[in-house]
Amino acid sequence: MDEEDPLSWDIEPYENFLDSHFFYRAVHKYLWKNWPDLNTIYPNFFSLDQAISGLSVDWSKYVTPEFTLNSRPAPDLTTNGIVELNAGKIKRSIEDKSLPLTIRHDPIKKPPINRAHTILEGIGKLNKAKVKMKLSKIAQWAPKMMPIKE
Amino acid sequence: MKKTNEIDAGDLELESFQEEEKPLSNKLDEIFRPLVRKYYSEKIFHEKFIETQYGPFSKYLDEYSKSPYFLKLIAPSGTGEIQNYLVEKFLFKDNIIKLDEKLREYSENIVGLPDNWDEEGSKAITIEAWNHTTTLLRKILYDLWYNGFDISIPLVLPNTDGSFDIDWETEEFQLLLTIPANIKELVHIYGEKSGQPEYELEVRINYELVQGVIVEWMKKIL
Repeated sequence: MDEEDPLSWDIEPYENFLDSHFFYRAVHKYLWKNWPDLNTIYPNFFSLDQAISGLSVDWSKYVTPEFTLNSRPAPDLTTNGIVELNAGKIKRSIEDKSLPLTIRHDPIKKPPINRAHTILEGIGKLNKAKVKMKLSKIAQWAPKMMPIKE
Repeated sequence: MKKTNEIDAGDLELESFQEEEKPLSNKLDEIFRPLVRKYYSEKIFHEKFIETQYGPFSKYLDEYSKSPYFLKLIAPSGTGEIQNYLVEKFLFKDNIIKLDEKLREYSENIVGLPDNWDEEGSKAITIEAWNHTTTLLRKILYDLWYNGFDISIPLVLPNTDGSFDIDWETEEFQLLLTIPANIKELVHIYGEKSGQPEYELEVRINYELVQGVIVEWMKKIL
């Protein structure tokens, strides 16, 4: 994270999400601990965040997967794994209309500050199951961030 | 027509059965259909029924359940309770054992989690939500197995809002059902058949309608 004043952070436009970028998301152990294959990414990793009516992720322009892990209440791989979603794949899916989402940069300027915070919006009552399934096909564990089963 | 307590092994020569000639069909029809109707009309559904009231019947039913013809014969009468009874007791015992094992595995240390189990505001994973989900899953699987579809057991996954996902991912299709914690809310369904977008299924429907919709969709794509 940079040291500049959070109040000066701008909300960046869609064009700034480069194809090579990633979005990181923590996945709690109760969402994966009982399943047979940890290499598989499941749709329930992308349950809608109730508070923001979207899916909260961290943008790789500003943070690493380690930041996302360390921002969890329990920052260890036995409790949380970190998945990454490639921005280019998401954008292509949006453009070909197979994924009805928008990406909105949403820096959090009050503690705990997070310039990387981004919301995948458009997940609603009509398309929840479809979006979850599509995202599970795009996602993978971030490097060295696959969780550890105890 | 023979009375049921007069059945003996000599009447039921499964080994010599040839479907084209249907030498056994009339006998089976005579034996099974009245029994099925009787069970259904009198709502006698407990294990003792076959074990005591129609003792010899149990042995033969077990044997016939391995015959494809048995399914064809019994299917028109076998809906609802009787279908589930036959599936559980005779037709797919191995599948049921496997299903029970899987559901036990999936629910372990998950069902009963209180609010905020992820320390991020998640909702409780309740036994009621689990029961709604697994009851629906059993109905779907029993219906499909009973109708001859060799469908695999899906994953049952919790969500942070207290709902459950039923998730099939096979080479032929992908299907995701999100069952809300409160079954008065709508069930979200999304399905795709690999390489055939015309079979895309995306609906929100009442819990009671889900079994019918899913079974019909499966019958179309499989």
